[in-house]
Parts: sequence; structure tokens; C-alpha cells
Amino acid sequence: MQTYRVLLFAGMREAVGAESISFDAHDVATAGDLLRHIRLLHPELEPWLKISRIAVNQSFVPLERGVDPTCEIALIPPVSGG
Amino acid sequence: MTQNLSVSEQVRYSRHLMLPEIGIAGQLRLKESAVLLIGLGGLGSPLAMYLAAAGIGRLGLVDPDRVDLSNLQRQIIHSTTNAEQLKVDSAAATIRDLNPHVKVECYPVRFDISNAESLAAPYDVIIDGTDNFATRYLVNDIAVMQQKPNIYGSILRFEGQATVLNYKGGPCYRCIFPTPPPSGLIPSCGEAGVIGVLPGLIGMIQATEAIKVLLNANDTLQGRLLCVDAWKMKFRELKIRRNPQCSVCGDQPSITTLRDENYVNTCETLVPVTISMPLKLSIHEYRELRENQTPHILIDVREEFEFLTCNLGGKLIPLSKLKEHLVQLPKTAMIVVHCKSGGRSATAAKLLCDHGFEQVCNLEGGILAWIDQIDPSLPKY
Repeated sequence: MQTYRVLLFAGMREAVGAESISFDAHDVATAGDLLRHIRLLHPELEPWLKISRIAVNQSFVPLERGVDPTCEIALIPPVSGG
Repeated sequence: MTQNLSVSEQVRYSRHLMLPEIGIAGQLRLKESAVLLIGLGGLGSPLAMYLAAAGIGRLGLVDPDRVDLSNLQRQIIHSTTNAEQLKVDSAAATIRDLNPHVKVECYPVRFDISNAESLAAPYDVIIDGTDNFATRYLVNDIAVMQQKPNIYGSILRFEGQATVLNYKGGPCYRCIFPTPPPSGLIPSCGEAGVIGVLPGLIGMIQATEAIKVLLNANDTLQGRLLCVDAWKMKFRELKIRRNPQCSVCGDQPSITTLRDENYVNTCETLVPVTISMPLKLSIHEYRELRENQTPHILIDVREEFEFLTCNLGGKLIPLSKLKEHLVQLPKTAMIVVHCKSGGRSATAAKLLCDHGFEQVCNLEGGILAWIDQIDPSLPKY
């Protein structure tokens, strides 16, 4: 079992009430696997996950990109205010 | 076009002229440049002032709104005495006072598909200081179609984002966020608030990048999305790349003309007209309502897998699908909405009220509170 920590930004922080979420998993190989776990653990994030991008080690990545617990993982939603 | 700097301009811009990165040649370049600034709100206000002070030759200002008292906490180009004036007029007056060498062109209109092409055409660089996704995607698309750099900034509460788009082979906005989010999900500053200095902070980053782009600098924010958290004062950079499959700037773009359907999804980040307000219903009030057999419709706005884990016998309509089910619901009946702990159902209750449903109640604490206080036999998750 390995522990993953995911940083949240903007509206996702309010949705969860925290600036990051952590969870244990043993079957995470890609960014897409991470999202699958986040969906299950935090259904309140569902609408955000559809429109946000996942960043691994300060880079936006496609869902096939491999991840491990040492990566810095962040979910970045769009913001529109001006 | 060859121009010269007058003596008074040389004095005015002397601190620029000392910088090898700008100098006389750079200052002349700024003087020969034309920038279109879309939006004269939080971002656009400080942006316009610094661009004018820097000596941009021609500044186009687009905004249909008038100055409101609630703008003045952050929109510093406008003043108390200019309340009720058109923002473009109020801004133009401030700019003329600040730097009479700048030519100001005012467009008191909403930037939309009918005018985007002709408004953007006479300018070298476009700056996105808008406040809604529909206009942001439109600004992006016209910048790509006219091959102009788009200096992007956006803000909410204490957080902001900025980058340089469509510049030197870098990404456009759709490369980062391909489609506009559904309406109502992401609040505007008018709904969620914003600290007044934040648009100044982000607007200054945009102004800096605009000047560098006009000077043909290489080390801009191109390829990097800067995310600022002003409350923690943390700056984070994320690498972004052009997406060859992008629908507008990709190798085979599907968006080649401006069409409503590419933007309509998002028009409702404007504050919706609230007809009624949702009522908060405590768990015990709801139990009473059930015991008294008060007629009501219970809607469960969670996802299906949550519903299968445990439910209160409500009608399952996940929040993301609620809009498409509105026609099936009676407008005058009492509707109680619930979710896991009350967050999503609050959004759902507001959405129902905004669409004219007359008696909407949000079950506070959701099914978790029901399990805790009423029925511990149900599985918690």
C-alpha cells in the first residue's frame, strides 16, 4: 500500500474543505488511476474532475502518464473571474 | 513606420531608456504598438493604467458596463465621481490624464461573435481581462485565428492564474482547458468574492508580459501557467504545451470560424436571477415531514454508486444531470434535495430556485447526518 497526496486549488478546496487529500492505494500506475480513486473517495469533486487538469511534478500530463507516491500531484481547475 | 520620441517623451520614459532591454528602439516599438484590452474590470483597470504609463501607442478598450460603486474596491482606473459612467469613458479620461501620448479607442460593447473579428483586427496583442468563460474562449479563438498573442489572466477569491497564450508556438487556452465548463459550476467574482489587490497582482503580471511580448522577448510566461495564491502568497508554475490535437490551434482544427455553440455552454456565469431562495431543512425537521406524510419529492443528487451503497428512497438525479431533468419536475411541489453531506445538494437547491421552482429545501448534513441521527442501520461511506 502506498500513500498519495493530491493538492487542490480554487473551487475544489471549498468543495472538499481542505487544500489537499491523501489516500492509500496499491493499484495506481497512471494519472488516470489516481483520478479513479479520487472519484470514489470524493464524489463531491465529480463535476470538477471533468473540467480540471492533473499536474504531475509541475507539468500538465495526459491520463496515461505514470505516477508514483514521490510525485507532486495537483488538480488545477479553470478560473474565470476578472 | 518611423517615429521619434519628443523631448518630453524622452524625459517621461527616461527610466525605460536606461534599460538595455528597452532603450530608444524598444520605447519606439511600444509607441508603434496597438493593444486591445478586453474588459475594464479588476484586471483591466490596473493593466490599462500601466500600459498607458509605459507608452503603448494605441490602446483599445472594450467593455459594455458602467462603473458601479462595488467595482471601486479593485477597479482603480475608475473613481467615485465616475460612478454610473461607461467604464470605457471613465478609463479613457484617467489614461488621458496619465499619458496624453497614448491614443485611446473606446468600444462600449460586449465582445461577442458578431464583433470579435473586426474589434481584434487592428491590434497587435490581445489582453484577456474578461470575467466569464464564454468571452474567454472567444478571445482565445479569435487570437488563434488572427495569429495574435493573448495575454491571459483570471482571478477568484484569493487565487489567480496568468500566462501568455498563442505566442511563439506555445499553447492556446483550449490546449490547457479544451472546452468551457458547464454553466453555474464555477462562480464569478460577483458570486464568490475577490480580494481587491488580487486583480492588481495578476493584472500587473499581464501588463509585464504584454510589454515583453511587444518587445519580442523570449523569456515570457509562454509555456507556463502561473498559479498565485495570494492568501498564502505562494506562486506555482505549471508547464503547459501546445496540444497538436487542439480543436482551435491544433494541426487539424475543428473550430475555424466563430460559432455560438463553441461558447454558449458558459454564458450563465453571470449571476442568475434568483426567484426564490432554498430553505434549509434540518434532519429532525425532515423526519417530522416524513412522519406527517407531508407531500414532497425527495431528490438524491449523488452519483449512482453512492445511491447503491445507501439511500433514503429518493429519486436519483446526479447533480451533473439535474439540468436535463428539470422539465420532468413540477415547479410548485415541495422538493427536498439531499446528497452525502449537504454541499452538492446546496448547489442543486440553488439551481432549482434559479429555474423557478417555488418550494425547494436542502437537507442539511445529507444522508450522513440522517444515518448519525436517525437511522444508524444504514451503511456509512
